[in-house]
Amino acid sequence: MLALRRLAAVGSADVVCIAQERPEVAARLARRAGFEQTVLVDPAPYAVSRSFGVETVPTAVRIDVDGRARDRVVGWDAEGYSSLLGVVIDGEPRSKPGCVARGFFEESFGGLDELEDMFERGWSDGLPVVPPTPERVEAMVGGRDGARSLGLVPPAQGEATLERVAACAVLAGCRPAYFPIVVAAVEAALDPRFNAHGVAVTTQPAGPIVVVNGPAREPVGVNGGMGALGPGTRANATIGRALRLVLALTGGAYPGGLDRATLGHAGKLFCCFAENEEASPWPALHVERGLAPGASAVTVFAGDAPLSISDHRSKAPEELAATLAWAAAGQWSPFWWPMDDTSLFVVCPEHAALFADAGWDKERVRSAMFEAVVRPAGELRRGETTPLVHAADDDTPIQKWTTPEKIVLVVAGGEAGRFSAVFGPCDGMKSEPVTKEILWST
Amino acid sequence: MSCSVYDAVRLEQRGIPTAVVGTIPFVDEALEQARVLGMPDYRIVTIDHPIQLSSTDELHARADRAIETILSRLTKQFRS
Amino acid sequence: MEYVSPIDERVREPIPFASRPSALEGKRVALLDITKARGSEFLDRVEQRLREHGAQTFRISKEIFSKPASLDVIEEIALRGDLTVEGLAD
Repeated sequence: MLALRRLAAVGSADVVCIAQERPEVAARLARRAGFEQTVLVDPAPYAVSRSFGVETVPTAVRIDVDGRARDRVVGWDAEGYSSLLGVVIDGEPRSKPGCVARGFFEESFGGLDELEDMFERGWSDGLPVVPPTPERVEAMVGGRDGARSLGLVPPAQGEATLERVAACAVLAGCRPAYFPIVVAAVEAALDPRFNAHGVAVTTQPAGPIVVVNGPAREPVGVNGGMGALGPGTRANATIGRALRLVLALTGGAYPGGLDRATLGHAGKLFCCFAENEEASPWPALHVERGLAPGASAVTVFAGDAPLSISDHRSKAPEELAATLAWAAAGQWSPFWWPMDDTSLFVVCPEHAALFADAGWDKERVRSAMFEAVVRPAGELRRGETTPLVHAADDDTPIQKWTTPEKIVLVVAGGEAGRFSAVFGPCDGMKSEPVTKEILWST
Repeated sequence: MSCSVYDAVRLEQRGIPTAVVGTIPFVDEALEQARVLGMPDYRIVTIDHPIQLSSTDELHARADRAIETILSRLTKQFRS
Repeated sequence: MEYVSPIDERVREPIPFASRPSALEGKRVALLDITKARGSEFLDRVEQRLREHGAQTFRISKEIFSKPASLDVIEEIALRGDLTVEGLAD
């Protein structure tokens, strides 16, 4: 970038930039640097770079009128570039070492092995993936019709055949036993009500959150107990990751490409957990949403990073409801009230037991949470404010959510510890949670 | 931007020339979305970013600066 | 080493640009508002300028900027319009 900026300032027509990047990345770098001369790309396997013997970037090579490579400057060296171009180059620093060029790194430090090949192909989410060999994918498909389509995945509209979904599941590190859950999650994400297109390309940090219910949890090993939202459980990590890879690879929503999340967050790598139905005093989420208790299901939400909510001292259910709800009050933006999007609360077993001991069902909890978070419009009219608040009288009471139904409660977590959590909402996408049954012979 | 380009591709397929207007930081997203959908030469019309805190007069001024480009994308009449 | 690609590697048939009319005069232009804040003010001015050039215009909005336009909106534009300006993406 330093070299590009300095050369952009010179504006010499004699400079061609060759970027070891994909075209859209090169375009973005050039725009940021203000570099308006010619930009060419040399993506993997970096044939042009190799032919010029480029070991470090930046490297500048002067080509004479006969097309022969003459002088070169390795790294940033203002005096060297001045000499090459015959112009004065201002600015500090005057010199800076470069970095190892792509292509050269692989050859010098062990060569292109399978795992590196996956990175080079762009099939990774930043972590190593399992190469999807035909044998692994066939095992994942498990005798089902690999050509069966689950639909087109936005934004690139790639077709999600079972074979491609299986490739993503292999890449993610899934076992074949996880595949029916992955398929159900993909079906839910491709339901128009979820708005996968909007969720995939937004500047918000949102990603898909998968909640698993029913008998499938135990044999597959989806964790809803201690550490449910964290690392450590293969099923949680790889099922969530497989769905993300379908959206990123089959759907073309590469971070930095069509995935425009300004910040993103680590949970976009994977977010999948089981509801702890055994610790819950209430009907399971999938039952609440209309399925039979004996069914297994996934519910996919759009949301962003979870906020931890500590409450170790509340004794009354009203107090706990207020703690949980007020924790979410600042999510999305502190003064953007009311919010017409889902807040997914994960209530830990100790907190759920407090409500149960008081005889509170989910409706009562939800209602108390909804009523607890209210402020007069005058206090909310600061900066990022809704049109409703702008138009309201100063003392009009405004709730955080438009309706109590925007508050969704599931129970998960270990038996000890009074930490619940709430996922940040996905705003403005009109994305609804979608539940799909897990079908073993799908 | 991505959804707007998707709309534009569908409209172009229906025979409706379409100019999508967006701010400059969305150029590469638009380029990539058009490319993956099969219209690699589709270009949006750009205006300066940001706009949310601009006055109405400033937004109108940006529209005035963009109108010739919009017209050139939609008709043969205004092509330079 | 052979792998099963997670990417739909099929090469799309290139989609040709719709044929452009030779002149704007008399053409019906749809102003498709993606419903992001401030966009309608921008489209107001675009609409005014298009009319100054002899176009007929109509306004249409999609449900929300973060979803593709519904089939109904696309169909309505195809029925009532010759050209479209869609905005404003920021």
